Amino acid sequence: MMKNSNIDKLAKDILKSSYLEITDPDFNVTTMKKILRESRKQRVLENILLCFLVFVAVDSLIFLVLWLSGLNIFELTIRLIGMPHEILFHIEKLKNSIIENSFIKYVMLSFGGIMVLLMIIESKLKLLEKPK
Amino acid sequence: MDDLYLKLVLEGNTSKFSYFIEKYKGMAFSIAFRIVNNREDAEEIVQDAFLKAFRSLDKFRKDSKFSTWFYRIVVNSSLSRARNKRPELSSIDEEDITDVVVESVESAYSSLDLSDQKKFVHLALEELSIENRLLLTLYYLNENSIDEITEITGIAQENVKMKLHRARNKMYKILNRNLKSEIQSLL
Repeated sequence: MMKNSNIDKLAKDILKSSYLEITDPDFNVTTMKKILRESRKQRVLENILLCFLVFVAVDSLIFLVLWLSGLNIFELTIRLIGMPHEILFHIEKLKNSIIENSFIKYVMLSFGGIMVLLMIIESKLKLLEKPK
Repeated sequence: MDDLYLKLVLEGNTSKFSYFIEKYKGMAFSIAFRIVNNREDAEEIVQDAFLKAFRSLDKFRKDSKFSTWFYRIVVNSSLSRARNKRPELSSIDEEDITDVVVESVESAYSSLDLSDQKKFVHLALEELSIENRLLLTLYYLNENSIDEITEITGIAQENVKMKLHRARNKMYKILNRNLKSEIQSLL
């Protein structure tokens, strides 16, 4: 009776010849390209999150400081500050157009700023990471 | 070595991932090919598997070897691709093989040159079911342990042993039949 280990050994020898190679010579390069692209996407996503968090934190801090100083920017008037009329008139106008009249506009502008920032970051990353 | 490169990649040195591609692409391709039975599909699966592995690299807990974890991704991707493609083949009976069968395969197989050996093994594997091909590839070609095969395929340990035994017997029977008919055609 043939030993099971011998049958196994023969099976192993036989199956060794079933090993296959990838014939595409560019396989490594194309795979690495995909991975680097993925890596960039992940970083951009992380940057979006980071920028958003920084944006929220900085804005909250500004609102807090103003609130602690007894100023509420939503009720900001020229008389309350007592600064030159022309400058504050323009600030007031800008404030009205982006905050009071449409808060969404303000948010969109902020996101627009973030997107520009991210595009700059992404183009920097593209320059930094080139596949082998 | 895998751990070192894993650390480097996780630290942001993405280009070091090429180490894993170079090391595991061959075996991953053999596994994928045995399941989908098509070169192009297998290459695509391996590429996607590397991408999936990279995406979830931070979730790899090191409870097992990187290769085991990665081959599981390859097997799952291949199985989902193969599921809708073709029916399983396996008409060979499951009785135990005799020493005569093994000895006859051994002598006929060793008399073949390398390219014919490859051809006959390939033909025999093609006749087996996907599961049988996969188990034989993992155990005999990749030399994975039963525990690792359990982890890669999700088949219970006891079933792996039994299925492996049956798969090996079937392979011998198919090889014996094919080799016999080849010899007869030569005479």
